[in-house]
Amino acid sequence: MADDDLGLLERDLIDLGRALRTPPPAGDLVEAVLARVSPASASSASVSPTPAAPVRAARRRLAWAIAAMTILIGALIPPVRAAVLDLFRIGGVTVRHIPTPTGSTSGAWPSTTSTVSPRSAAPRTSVSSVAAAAAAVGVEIAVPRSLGAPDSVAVTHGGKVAELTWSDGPVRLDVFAGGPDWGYLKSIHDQVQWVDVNGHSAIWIAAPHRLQWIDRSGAGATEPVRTAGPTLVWVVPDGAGEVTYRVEGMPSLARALAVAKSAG
Amino acid sequence: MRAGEAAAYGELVIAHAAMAKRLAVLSGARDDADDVVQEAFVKAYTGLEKFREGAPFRPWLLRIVVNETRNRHRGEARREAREERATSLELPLAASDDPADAAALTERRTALLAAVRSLPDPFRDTVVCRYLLELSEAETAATLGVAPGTVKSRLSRALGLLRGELADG
Repeated sequence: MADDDLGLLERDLIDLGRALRTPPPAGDLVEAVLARVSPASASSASVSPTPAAPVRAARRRLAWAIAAMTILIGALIPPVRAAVLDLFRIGGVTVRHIPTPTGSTSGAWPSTTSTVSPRSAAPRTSVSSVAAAAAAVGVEIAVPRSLGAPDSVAVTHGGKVAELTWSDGPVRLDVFAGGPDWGYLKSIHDQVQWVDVNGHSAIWIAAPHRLQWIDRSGAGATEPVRTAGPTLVWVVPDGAGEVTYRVEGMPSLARALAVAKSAG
Repeated sequence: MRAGEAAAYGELVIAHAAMAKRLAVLSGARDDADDVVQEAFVKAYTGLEKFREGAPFRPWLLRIVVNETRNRHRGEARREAREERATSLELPLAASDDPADAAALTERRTALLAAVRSLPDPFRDTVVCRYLLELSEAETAATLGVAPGTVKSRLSRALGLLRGELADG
């Protein structure tokens, strides 16, 4: 909430809430709950690290990737599970909603733009043209006319993603065909906004969020988890299924939509 | 429930447990706050089939926490609030370079907390959700099962009551 809209008493109340210390939840809470909802599987149930925890050790990163993959694998996600995880897919992008960490607002993803680097940190193979990238990835690529010709074109993630960048912005466009075994995993705190691009569902994520590439085959899964800026994701059906477009770096939904619509 | 779902639900429990416990304590749970939280997570799981897909999980869970606490402590919290200071809540000494400032701030916070706890339940719960837990107006409404307009009017009334209470000292 915007602090400047508040009176003194409201501010004092918020300040009180931040100053209060509540004893932590019982140490055996997770085990106790799981035992009660699922007596049979409780002993074997393993608890994944909390998503907000910093992922340092490679082993933990691997464990997390595997856990995330089990989510991605299911083309049909059981409704119960989807409800539990507040998660959904659009094209090759899986979005999971993670509540804002309690206690303070500082637990949110870094809100600065310093970590928002539109160029992929994954190994990238530069290619000479959009046509070459399309051929390598195996999808048709409709370059948004409003952006003009890209400043760089590359193929990333084991040849699965075409990455076009424009240094003015900067703006990054990823085009790929999502598969059941690979795709982007986005972790968000806030709700997404559903919008329409040329008659197809699209989502706008205005706030910085966590972006991760997941690939069960292991190919190209070396991009570190990073914080992504405002992003529009839309899908375009093609003969073989659907092609996913992900544009990052447009400052507003209106401008992102204009870009998406110009990709006709 | 399959093992994978157990792990997924475990993750969810971890994510929401601290907030659930804080709400339980602030809305009147006492030594049984941990029981309230555990019960709420079990009930939330049991009710998942009825849960509307795509709806946010948090306010739905918190609503169960509030109801569970109410059922166990109807009328109790307010009666005892004046006699006994927040039993499970700790209010650490405020940080300040000047010890006198810190003591004064802590005293003010203590008085404010006592005033909040002495509010009639509906007002107290609304103030707790909206300000102490910093939920949005929509989340507060969903958590308490009331209309957003009711949240607005209750907050306005509660602030008036608090001002009166604090002025009476």
